[in-house]
Amino acid sequence: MSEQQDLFTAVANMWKGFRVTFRQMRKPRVTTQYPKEFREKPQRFHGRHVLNRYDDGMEKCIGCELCAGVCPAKCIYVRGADNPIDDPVSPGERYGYVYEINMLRCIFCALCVEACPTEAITMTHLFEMSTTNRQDAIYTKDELLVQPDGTPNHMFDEDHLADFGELAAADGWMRATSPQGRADFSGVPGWTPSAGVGLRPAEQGQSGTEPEGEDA
Amino acid sequence: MADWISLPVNWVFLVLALVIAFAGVKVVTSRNLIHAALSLVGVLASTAALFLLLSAEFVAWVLVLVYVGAVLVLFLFGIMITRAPMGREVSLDNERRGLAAITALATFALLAGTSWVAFGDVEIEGVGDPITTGDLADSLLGRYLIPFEIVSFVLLAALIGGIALARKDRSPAEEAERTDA
Amino acid sequence: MMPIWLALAKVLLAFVVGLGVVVLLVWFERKIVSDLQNRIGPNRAGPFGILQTVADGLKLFFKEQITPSRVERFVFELAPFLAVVPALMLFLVVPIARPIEITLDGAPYLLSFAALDINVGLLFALAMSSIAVYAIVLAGWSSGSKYPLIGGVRGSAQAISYEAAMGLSMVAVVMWVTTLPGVTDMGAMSVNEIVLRQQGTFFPDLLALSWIPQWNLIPQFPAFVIFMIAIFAETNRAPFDLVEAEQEIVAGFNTEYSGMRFAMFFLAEYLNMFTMSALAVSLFLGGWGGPFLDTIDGWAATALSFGYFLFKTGLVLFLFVWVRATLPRFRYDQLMQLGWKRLIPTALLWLILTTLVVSFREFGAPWA
Repeated sequence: MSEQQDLFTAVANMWKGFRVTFRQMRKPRVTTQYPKEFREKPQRFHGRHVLNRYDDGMEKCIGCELCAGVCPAKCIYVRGADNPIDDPVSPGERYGYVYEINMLRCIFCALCVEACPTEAITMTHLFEMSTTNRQDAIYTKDELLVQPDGTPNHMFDEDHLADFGELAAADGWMRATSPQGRADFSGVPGWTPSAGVGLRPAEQGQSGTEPEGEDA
Repeated sequence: MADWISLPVNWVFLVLALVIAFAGVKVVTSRNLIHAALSLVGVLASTAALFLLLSAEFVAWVLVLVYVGAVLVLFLFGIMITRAPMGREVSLDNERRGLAAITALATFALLAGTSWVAFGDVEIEGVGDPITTGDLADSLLGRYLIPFEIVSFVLLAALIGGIALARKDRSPAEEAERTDA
Repeated sequence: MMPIWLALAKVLLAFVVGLGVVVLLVWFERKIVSDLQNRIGPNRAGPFGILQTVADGLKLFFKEQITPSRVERFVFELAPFLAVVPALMLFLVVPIARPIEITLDGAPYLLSFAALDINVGLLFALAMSSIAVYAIVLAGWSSGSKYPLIGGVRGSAQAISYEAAMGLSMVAVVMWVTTLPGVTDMGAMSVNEIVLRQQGTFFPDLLALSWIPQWNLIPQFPAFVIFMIAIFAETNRAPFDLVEAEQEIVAGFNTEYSGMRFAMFFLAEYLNMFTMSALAVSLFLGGWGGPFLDTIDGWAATALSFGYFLFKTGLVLFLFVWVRATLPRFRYDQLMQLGWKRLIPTALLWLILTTLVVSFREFGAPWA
């Protein structure tokens, strides 16, 4: 805008500006009336973590502490313990005995999801994590572990507002990009549903069969 | 004296006069420069109230507008932009305060005595209808036209002085550059 | 002679109207700004969020009033009141409804609805707006920290610069109004009188144009424009809100204020906005006048005129909000340049022009 704009041009430009704002009054509003309305989160949204189970109900977490090791914010505390012989918790030798995540320190980077070798920890679309004291923000294993049928726990049942239908969207894509992915597994669905149990059905381009191999 | 007190106008005058006296003393004796300026606001606002008592509405509000609203704001600016002091300023204290107080009291006695002797028994008739702007304009531009014009010269001189003071001083090199270019 | 109780009743009415409208005004602004910005504004507190201001007021009431240790206590606590009181006083001279004939002690008396119906109403309004400057500069200084000081000094410099332009445009209006036939025996500086003289139409004889009301907007349009710009700057509203915008200077002169003291400043800003709009409406838009007022009379007409007044003030306030949502902020030097170098000369020029026209009409041509 040059300094020497004459008065009429200046006024005309100003008037155009005013018309722009005035016209917005006739357009629909973009506000979502949360909590009555709920905006869908993107598919790979980094929400709250959950610890998943297999189809038969066994926990996927083997207590290897890789997630705690990779966490840049040092917010995960894991201690493994040997599986009791007669009542194993996870398939394998050890399981996650203590598992705590401090949500106040977590930066939601999903490196733990990438690091986990068994897809035990994934991130859901849950984001309502308000607490009234710092102690409550440390999510323990009971809260993180999914129910036997695969639904995640919510800490304060009386105010959970999220639509659980949202949780069906997948986020285990991290698994495929992690360096632990073996080439044998490419094209084989290894996606964990965001919260829960079991595996998704094969998508287009993926075969439904597991690869052969001694440690498949 | 009794009938002086019986009129409510006089109580208001008494209160205002006390406020002016007290604030005036604060102006010259205050340790903090801003407090002195604020006390001056008090003095001028009470003077405007005195004018209101005399039904000179126009003068009163012009006094507020000009003095309180412009002159004192500029005072405050001047103080704040240059020093912005807070708390006690030792340099405002004067060693000769005793002598100054005596001189002030003597001047006050002289003025008050002279006024009392000259106008002591004059009674101001009940101040009635407000003096309209029209009347004021008639006398300013009628009877007092010449003083009015002379005052405008004073204002012009102040304006020119202000501009001259506020002008950026150019060094001789810059002056030479300007005349060459 | 007006009895004391009547004067107090009028002042109380002005007080109630002023504060009531301010509460609505905060809501109005938030809703309209959000409409202009494609979002829904407050809609939780009460139907359509009308009680949002009440909720905010209650919140501020219960908030802790933090007083930093370096403040100048007396002035710090005085400044919020210095902000609110002149704004309220300014509103006293504005007539909010049509005068009505009542009988007072057996004699008929024309009750005007300007709480302070004095001869020099407009001058009083100017004086009060110049006192409002003190709140800014004293709040800024007494806070004892540098951003409030800068904000305060800048804010008050801005206020006094635009006060001159505001006053000059008002003078032009007063001069013009003296050419209109007088209604009461007040002079042309009384706001009530100015509104009364604006009733009627310009061309009552020409059928086609007889609807054009005799508002000062038409013959004094440049003064209207200057006045509007000046009141945007006086009330520290966008685009002149440099001194208190969060992106610029935290909150300028009211940074260190919290709780009810901040609420006073907030209230004072919106009250100023409303009062200046009311003044603009009274000076230029015919005040409480409107169609169908001659056909009915009595208290019904007064109520209708109050409705017209509120409607017109609402239009001017919509303009305030619209401008806030549209225009970017002025830089401080641009602001001062606009005030001193463009607005004041324009106002002076318009004043000279008005003087010429008025003296032509009054005294005839000088060569005749």
